[in-house]
Amino acid sequence: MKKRILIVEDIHSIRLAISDLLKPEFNVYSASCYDEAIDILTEVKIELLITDIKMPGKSGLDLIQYTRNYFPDTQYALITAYNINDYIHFAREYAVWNIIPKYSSLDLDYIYVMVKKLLFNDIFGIDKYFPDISIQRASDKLFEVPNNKSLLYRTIKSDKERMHYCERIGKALVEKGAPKIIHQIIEELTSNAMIRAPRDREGNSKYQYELPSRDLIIALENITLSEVDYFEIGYGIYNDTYIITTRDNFGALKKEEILLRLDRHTKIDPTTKLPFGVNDSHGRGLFICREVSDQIIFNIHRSCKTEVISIVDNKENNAFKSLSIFELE
Amino acid sequence: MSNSSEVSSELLSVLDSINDPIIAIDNLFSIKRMNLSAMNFIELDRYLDNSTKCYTVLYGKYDICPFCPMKRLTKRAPHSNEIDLESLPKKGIDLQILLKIRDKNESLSISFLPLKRDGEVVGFIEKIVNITKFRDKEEENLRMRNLASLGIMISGVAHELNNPLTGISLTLQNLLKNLNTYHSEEVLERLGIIQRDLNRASNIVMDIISFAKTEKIKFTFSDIKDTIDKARETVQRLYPTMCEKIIWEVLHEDNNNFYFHPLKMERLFINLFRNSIQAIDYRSGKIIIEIKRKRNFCQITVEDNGGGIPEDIIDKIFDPFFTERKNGVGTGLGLSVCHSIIKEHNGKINVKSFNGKTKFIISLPYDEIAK
Repeated sequence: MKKRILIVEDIHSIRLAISDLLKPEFNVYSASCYDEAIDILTEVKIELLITDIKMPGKSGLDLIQYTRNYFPDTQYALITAYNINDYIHFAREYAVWNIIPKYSSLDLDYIYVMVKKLLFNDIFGIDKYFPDISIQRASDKLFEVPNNKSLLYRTIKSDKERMHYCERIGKALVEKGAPKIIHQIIEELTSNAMIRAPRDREGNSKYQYELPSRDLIIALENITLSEVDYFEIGYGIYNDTYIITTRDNFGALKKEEILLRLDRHTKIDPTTKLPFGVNDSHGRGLFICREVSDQIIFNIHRSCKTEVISIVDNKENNAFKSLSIFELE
Repeated sequence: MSNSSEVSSELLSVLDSINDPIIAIDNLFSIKRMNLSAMNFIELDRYLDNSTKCYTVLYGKYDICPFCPMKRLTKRAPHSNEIDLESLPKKGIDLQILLKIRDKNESLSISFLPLKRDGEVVGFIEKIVNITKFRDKEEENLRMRNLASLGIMISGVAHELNNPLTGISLTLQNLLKNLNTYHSEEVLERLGIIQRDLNRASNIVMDIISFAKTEKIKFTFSDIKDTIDKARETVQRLYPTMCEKIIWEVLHEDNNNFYFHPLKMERLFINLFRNSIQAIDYRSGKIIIEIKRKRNFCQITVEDNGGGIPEDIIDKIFDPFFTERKNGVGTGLGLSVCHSIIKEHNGKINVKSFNGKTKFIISLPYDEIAK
């Protein structure tokens, strides 16, 4: 039995395009406003709801609230032509993990991948986004630069290795045309995977010390990871697009935590006119990483595995960044 | 004590030291006396004697200048060119004109003041100040302000543009993917959809263009209701989805004609209406516009039920860059542009907020004759 998807969008062409895209594999229903959507939700058991935010009448946010209350088994995602950062707070409050931006270079496949990941519990892997990319392990002996349409994975075992490879990977990709900011993405993602992710059984960080006031985290020096704490970095090139991805074996990064960190940096404190997050070091790296990546995707299997994928192209679509957080049930 | 000839020569040198032309003229438009600046102001080939008329020497004309306020003060007798000096106001008359001097357009500010001898008005003093540079600067400022208001338009319509563009893009991606499997009717249907989205996008662009080229138009005698209707139509066209559930009501009397700058006024109302519809924020709402004739001014109120303005910010809303909206929605200049347009019309704009309603009250004087 095909899974059922409901698309709520007031622009006819967008509604039809998404429904055309998904029709071959799913039972697609569509509605142009809140009321129509409610009628369909009541009549048919919908597995996934994709809704625009601003529509005539009640909004997509209202629809999400309604769905949560009356159809708790229905998953949902948002689409919007507005700045997604303005909705991070709502996302936190109503557990929205995926928001797709409407803009002219939006890749239709991105929606397809999101739908598949949400409905089939198969979320890991860069090949979801680049089906024909060749994935290999980097040689242990010499440093390799990936060819076009390929991605190399490398295991990192210590702080020393991390520093060494971060530098070389960044340099190699910049030589191949990546923006310099890729260095920062590599730094943030690897430090997350190596320093913040590993925890012991009591949930305490293994490689960082947190001040009791919780406003400063200090990484230990010259970390050598124990064998179970090794993590992997993947770096690849696909035409004009550059890919950095990290995988650890902890699944310690909680999806609520991601939104919390982003929210603290997108919401402005009315008294200081500055984001709440500037006062301490919590989550700034993650926020910056998302700001400078064109897409950042979080795949989480709690207590097992975290995969973060940062995709950087040179299109400079900075205003249109999706929110993509997936977690296995 | 110095004698009277010493005093008069001292006064003459004082007059000559003034950089602006000053001319004494009698009740028959003949020049009686002028300072050094005035001599420099008139062209060299014009000869001055006691019966030379001011309009000939100063402005190169053979009859009283059309803009001359003294023309209105001439005595009623046929063919009389004698000025009724008693009717010249004590504090004088000011006006600004644009004049071609040596092939250059110059802006002049001219003042006419009564010239008295022994308590009796015997003529008038004309003082000319060249305000071209000042004007240029003012126009430059105005242009900057217009650019700013264009910026607001653009950021506002950007989101509305995003919708049709995304629609076109996604539909095209679909067509490319399924080119071999779609029937021709399916292709045609999707092409039609692209056409509709394109029309929508190009309408938005057309509106921005027409909004941008509005300068060089003066105050004209027009009907403010027409301007308000036009602004409303523009806003409805630019923001079709936001306007869908809004009820508009325009209350007015029959004759709403007076002098104003129609395009600037349209811009002002576009700004106000856009604020209202953004306040209503896709819900259903009502915008009531009322045009009232008062004794010497026209009063226009624009009221919406979009939630009102909090008390602590209501006196800040006309400040430039003040905005309560989230990033990317506006530049925070909309209402300050409104304010400056109203000021150019010597009018007033006030705002009141109560019971979830916001009311802008605009007063525009009737006697603001073409500048």
